[in-house]
Amino acid sequence: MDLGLSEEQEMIKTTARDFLEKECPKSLVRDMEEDDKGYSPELWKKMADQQWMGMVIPEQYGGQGFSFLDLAVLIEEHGRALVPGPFFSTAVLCGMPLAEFGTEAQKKEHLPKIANGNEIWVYAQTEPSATWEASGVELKAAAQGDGFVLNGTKLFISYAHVADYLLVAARTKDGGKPEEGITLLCVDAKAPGIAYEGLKTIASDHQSEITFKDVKVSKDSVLGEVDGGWAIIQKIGEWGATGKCAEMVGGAQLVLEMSVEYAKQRVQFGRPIGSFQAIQHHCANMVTDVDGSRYIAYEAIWRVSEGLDASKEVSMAKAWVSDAYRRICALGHQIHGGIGFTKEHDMQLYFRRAKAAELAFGDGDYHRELVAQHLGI
Amino acid sequence: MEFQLSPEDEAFRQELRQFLREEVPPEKTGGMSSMNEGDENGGDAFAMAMRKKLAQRGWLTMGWPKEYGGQDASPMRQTIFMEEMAYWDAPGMDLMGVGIVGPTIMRVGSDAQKRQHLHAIAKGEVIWSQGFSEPGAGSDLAGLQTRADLKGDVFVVNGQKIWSSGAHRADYMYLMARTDQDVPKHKGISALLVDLKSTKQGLEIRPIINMAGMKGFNEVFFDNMEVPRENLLGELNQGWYYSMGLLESERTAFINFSAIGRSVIEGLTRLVNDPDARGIASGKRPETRAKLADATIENKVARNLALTVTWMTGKGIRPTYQASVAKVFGTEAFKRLAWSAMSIVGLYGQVERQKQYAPLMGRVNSIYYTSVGMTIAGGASEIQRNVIATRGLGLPR
Ligand SMILES: Cc1cc2nc3c(=O)[nH]c(=O)nc-3n(C[C@H](O)[C@H](O)[C@H](O)COP(=O)(O)OP(=O)(O)OC[C@H]3O[C@@H](n4cnc5c(N)ncnc54)[C@H](O)[C@@H]3O)c2cc1C
Repeated sequence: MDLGLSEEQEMIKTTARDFLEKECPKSLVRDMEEDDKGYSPELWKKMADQQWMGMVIPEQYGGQGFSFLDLAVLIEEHGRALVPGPFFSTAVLCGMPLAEFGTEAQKKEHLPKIANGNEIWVYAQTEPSATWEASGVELKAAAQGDGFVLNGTKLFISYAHVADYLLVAARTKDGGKPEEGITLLCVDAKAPGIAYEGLKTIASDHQSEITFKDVKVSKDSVLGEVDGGWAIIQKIGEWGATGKCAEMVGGAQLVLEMSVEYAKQRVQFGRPIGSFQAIQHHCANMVTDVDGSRYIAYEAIWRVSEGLDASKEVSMAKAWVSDAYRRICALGHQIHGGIGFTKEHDMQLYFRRAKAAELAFGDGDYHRELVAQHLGI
Repeated sequence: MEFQLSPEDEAFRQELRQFLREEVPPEKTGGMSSMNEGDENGGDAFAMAMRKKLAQRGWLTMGWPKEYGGQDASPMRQTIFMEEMAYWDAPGMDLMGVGIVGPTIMRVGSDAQKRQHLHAIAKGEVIWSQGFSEPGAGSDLAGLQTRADLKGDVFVVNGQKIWSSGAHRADYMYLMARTDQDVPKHKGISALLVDLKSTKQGLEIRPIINMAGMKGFNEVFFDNMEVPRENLLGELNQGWYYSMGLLESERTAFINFSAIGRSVIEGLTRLVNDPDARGIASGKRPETRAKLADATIENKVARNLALTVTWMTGKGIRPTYQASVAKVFGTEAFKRLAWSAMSIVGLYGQVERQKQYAPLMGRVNSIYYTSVGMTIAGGASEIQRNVIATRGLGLPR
């Protein structure tokens, strides 16, 4: 049993924190909320120079060959700094499945470009059906000639409008169980017939509705097996859910620190509000939730990273951390009083992203039901 | 990071499980869930016999140094031991003697005290109790008023203790009393080792029946009770500072809440799936599913927080606030579990300690009671939160 970070992971953490404090100030985060692209190509380039996009990509494909656990340490810092842009989707949601399930040709073609920052990838699973379950995948990929023709709609897809490639979950066969007949396709984001319509969403994460009208894709764009996509989607779900947990832990830690700091500074009735027991107990409850979230998150991350069976732990972590982060933000807001309710204050940046992260890859209720199934109830 | 036991630790856990399967029949369980204090149905005798068996295997004091009858076992080993005992709900543990009194005697006791007490504790032969709280001094323990005046070769003790767990059947008491009236309150307290069995005069122990109807703790009255001077532990007026170290040796015990909770969750899971179990909420109901899933998740969080304390202790890192976090969360999650468990078993939850109808050998009903005391004993949740905020987060007092 070892609940600490390795020396190398400590390095990843401090290097990332120093880098992001300098390169990703809150002013940039705010600018990107309003920006058309929603991310800074300049910062993207610098992140690639740090070799972040290729962190878990094997060395022979231009990456660094680190583990998912190592990457999670970095993602935690992204959650703290609120790094805007398609890093998570490129490195985690697409880079990881490409490296694990891609053909030699797909890996050779894409992984080096992901690693050096030249390709942006976005994962497109959800649709107007608005569920993470297999039945939600309705977008049709009809076999035609040597490939497929796509028709349908993807919804809630962040940064799709700036992507080079979309990793699309499509239905290639009807009938049977919903899990059967789903195929993952690597689609050129600029292919004819694809249209993007931006959505304004709570985390300003530049989501789109993507419509596919007779979009042609070739057979070699299939990731994994035709009709065998669900197994990969579940794996992406594990990376996605636990990656989001790491991100939330990073954000929650900062909200805690910001609130404790404020409680020490803010004076009412002639004394710092942090000397009032009500405020102290809010802070104590926050740190309890932050620490509780950290270990349940990293236990799941560790299992995923080690290739152990992790689906129960992933659901436990995602259910817990999603709700805990919301509680932490609520207490943070309470401690800040009126100032925290302003747009100018940073609390709102975390509050809004907490909700989006909660919803990503299933919220508490969704995962609690999965936990109940794992218990065999 | 690594969230699993080493092969050696895992082997130890298996050995323990085997031992418990053989030694503790289900009807003899109840060590943790009911606190097993003063059980009139021979529970005491069985618990003491178990304690001796644990001692014979070297497990009882495994965390102690070899010279005092221990095995120098790592905090992780000790935690595994605690966890399995609590999970099995087995009687025989000795938190007071092994976890609290023994280590303090090792640290500051005289050679004579070490000779007299340590091996007796290690062999599982003696029962210790703790005389700290008073009617006027609970959370504010340093405000205690019981006085011990040194007269010649004896301390003359006057005053009253309350909530002394197990004192009615204990051999000894670790007593905190005021030995200097003229200094600030923390600075005038001493620790005395009182031989309850051979003290004939000036001592009265009155059991208090706890709300579960059990003899758990006691009121203890001192009326010119004499304690030999050599039973002073460490130095005069240093008692407060010794007792502050106590929580440290109790740390591995935080695993108990999640361990007993896990066994209850597993039992409930069997019940809600059992089509023949009438009157129990069905596992098909969304409320039941959500309650058990929540309990499982909280249980994992509690266990991890307890393990954090173990892990830090093993690394030689002093937990500043983590022990309080583990205590607050562990005991409060335990209480929420008790509520959920009671609601799942419905009308049957009312039945008390009667094996036929009480679900899970009466454990659901038991923890509904015991969980009330856990958020109070050993530093109430509010006090723990004060510690987390001030010592942990540095908020002003
Ligand atoms: C099952 C059980 C076993 C026990 N065993 C023993 C034993 O063996 N030996 C022994 O000496 N004692 C024992 N105790 C006593 C225990 O240590 C005390 O009950 C505990 O310290 C609380 O003290 P109190 O009961 O006087 O409550 P009080 O201190 O009066 O507290 C009442 C309420 O006020 C709150 N409060 C008090 N001060 C503050 C503050 N500064 N800030 C915020 N809230 C505050 C408390 O949190 C609590 O909610 C046991 C108690 C229980 C329940």
